[in-house]
Amino acid sequence: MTKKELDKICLTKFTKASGWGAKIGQDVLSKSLCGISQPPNKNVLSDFSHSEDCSVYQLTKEICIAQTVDFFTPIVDDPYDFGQIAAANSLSDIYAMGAKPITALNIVGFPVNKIDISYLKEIHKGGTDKLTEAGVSLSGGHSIDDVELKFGYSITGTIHPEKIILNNTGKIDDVLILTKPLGSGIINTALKAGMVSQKTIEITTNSMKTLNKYAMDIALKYNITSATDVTGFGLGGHLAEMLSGEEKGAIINFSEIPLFPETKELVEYGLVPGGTYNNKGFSGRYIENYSYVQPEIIDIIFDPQTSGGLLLTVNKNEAEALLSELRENNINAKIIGKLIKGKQNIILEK
Amino acid sequence: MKLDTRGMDCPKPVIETKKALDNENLSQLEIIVDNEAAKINVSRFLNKKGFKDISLDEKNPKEIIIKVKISEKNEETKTVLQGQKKIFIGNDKLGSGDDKLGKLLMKGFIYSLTELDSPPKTLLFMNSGVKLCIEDSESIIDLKKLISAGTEILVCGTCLKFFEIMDKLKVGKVSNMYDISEKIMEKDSVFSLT
Repeated sequence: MTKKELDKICLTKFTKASGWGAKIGQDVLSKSLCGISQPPNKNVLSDFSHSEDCSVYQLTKEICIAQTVDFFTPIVDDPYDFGQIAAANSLSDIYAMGAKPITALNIVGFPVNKIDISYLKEIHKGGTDKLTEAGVSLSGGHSIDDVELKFGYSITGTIHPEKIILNNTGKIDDVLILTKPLGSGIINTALKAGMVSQKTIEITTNSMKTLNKYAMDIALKYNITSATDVTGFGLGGHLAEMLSGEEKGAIINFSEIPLFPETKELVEYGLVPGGTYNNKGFSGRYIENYSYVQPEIIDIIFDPQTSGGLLLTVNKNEAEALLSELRENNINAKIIGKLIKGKQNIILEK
Repeated sequence: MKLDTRGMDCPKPVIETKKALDNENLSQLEIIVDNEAAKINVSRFLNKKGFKDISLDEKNPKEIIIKVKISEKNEETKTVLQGQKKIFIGNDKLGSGDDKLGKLLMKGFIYSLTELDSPPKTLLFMNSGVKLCIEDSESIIDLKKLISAGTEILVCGTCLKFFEIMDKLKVGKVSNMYDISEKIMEKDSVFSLT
């Protein structure tokens, strides 16, 4: 198939919900896992009961393996870009734990009778190129004929047990830094509606394709106290996870949050993905001043991100230096708030 | 017209509502949705488009009817909204570098305002900008055209006095600093031409 012929099919028209908008809500997920028990294993340092970014298993005194899996439905129409975004998204959790990714297994669901197989080839090309950029080897995978197109990877990485970056070990007065703009859920919904400019799609796509490796490589030079990546549960959901553990809350200055172009306007037009409502339902209760904030701002806070940025906490004395270095390296990072004394509460300020 | 979006996935309810509204012969639109997300998304869309007469009828959580009345008034509102720009002109030249070029550019700019679909709401002239409103100004005809199209033109009285050209004013209303500052502080945006 020529590129022109490839361009004709809009991948996003073959999906019910885009990207992370298709993720099962936290409440439904919790119900499905509630009560599931297994014998304890002292080598399992992190599993699904911790809401950490990856599972971590200690092999030796110095090596742990970190594993994660992510797959989703198309968020962009171009198959190569979709592959790139899927890979970047799958790798993100590994970087968020400070681990080094080494191998990948591919997961595919593809409607073989609806879309020509050349599209899958292009998606694979995009994904493999991104894995190569990350120094990761694609070593296998599994595919099924599926009604809806799905694509993603399980990634395995390694990390020293004393270097694991958890997501809830931030300290009171630490500064919160976000390394990519918010709004990809809204933009992807607007794309499906044909209501967003090509320029905005390009900017958002480029951001989603960007590996969080570069931001984490810089962050690891500083004393970051915790980290996570902002994906399906939105900034609000992932921040709430960061606030579990020791008693702490957070203040977010929402005017400091970097947004993709047109995001605010599109929210006002009602182009809010279904996933946002799930996220609000589950984590809205953590927003202390929920009823006093404009509903559109709340929708941005809970917008499910695809291949979103890292959310880091760092000691306030190092915050400016870390921020400068990130920005000097073309990473659109911003200080968006800080941790305060509290009980897993989030206060949204202007 | 009735639009049933039950069973449609996000953002189809909004897309179908948009399509229905593009039909110019509608006087009323009823949209049926079957979930909270669609109810909020469609309502927000209608609000943003400027419709004021919207009502909700929640028969049950799976059958919510959103009614919107589409009247000529909405069209008017649209036009007025487009013309909300206020332009502050503090010089009789546009830009700096060459005065002759600056005068030409300003003439061209004021002419181009007459060619727009909707005229600016207000033009505020101050300092040497007031010279564009007196006899022998090359923009008099264009400024008069703008007044006929509905633009309000305010000319600073203090400035006219300073340049001793108060009696030469040919277009616009003499205004004072209080009125001009009030206009600038109003809700709608002010664009300052330098």
